Amino acid sequence: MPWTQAIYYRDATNVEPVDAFIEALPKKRAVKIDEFIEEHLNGQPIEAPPPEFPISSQIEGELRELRVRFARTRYRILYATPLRAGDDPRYLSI
Amino acid sequence: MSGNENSSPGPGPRGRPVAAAAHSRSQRSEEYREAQTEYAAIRELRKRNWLAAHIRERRYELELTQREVAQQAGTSHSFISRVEAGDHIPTIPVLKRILAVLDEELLIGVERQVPDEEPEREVAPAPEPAAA
Repeated sequence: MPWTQAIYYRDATNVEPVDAFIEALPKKRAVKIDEFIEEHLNGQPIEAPPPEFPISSQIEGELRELRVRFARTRYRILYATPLRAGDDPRYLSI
Repeated sequence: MSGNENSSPGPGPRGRPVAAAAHSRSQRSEEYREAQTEYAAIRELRKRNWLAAHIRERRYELELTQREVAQQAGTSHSFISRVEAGDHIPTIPVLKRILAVLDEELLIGVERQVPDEEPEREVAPAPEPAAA
């Protein structure tokens, strides 16, 4: 059975903006976000429904947000399921 | 990793797998590894005692010590330690005070099973103890 895998969006300058954002956070916060992604977006059957609110919510179309709470801060990690026909359905772009 | 590939999908708009980046962070930072250890312990605790895990995680993220929570909640360090270990369940008034220190409010909920329908739920603030 194919499983989902979260991957970073990489821009034209070869930068992965969300990875750069997480990398700059204090380490405890980076761990919380990385493990939230691992728990809720990685290793899911591709036909499984998206995580329910408040873990995630729909923004528009295939664009969703993963809602990670750390102390008094809410991080909203935007991600998208494959947008075009023919895209590999395993990959969730962050 | 949980059953997913670890190889990069290749050049183009797709970057690295998030899991690979997290692994790299773990390799490079002792502080990151320490936080991983704490969250792993909280995950294990949550399997047998959600409340204990919640209090431990919230206190950890707010960077409060057990002693600080105990002092502000009007209880003892050893009491908070036992609650976080899952060895003791506090009374409702004490739990309210602990959660208030953690910037949270205790709600009480009940659920009723209704044949052929979604369960009915009611949630309300925890009651204040009667004045002496």
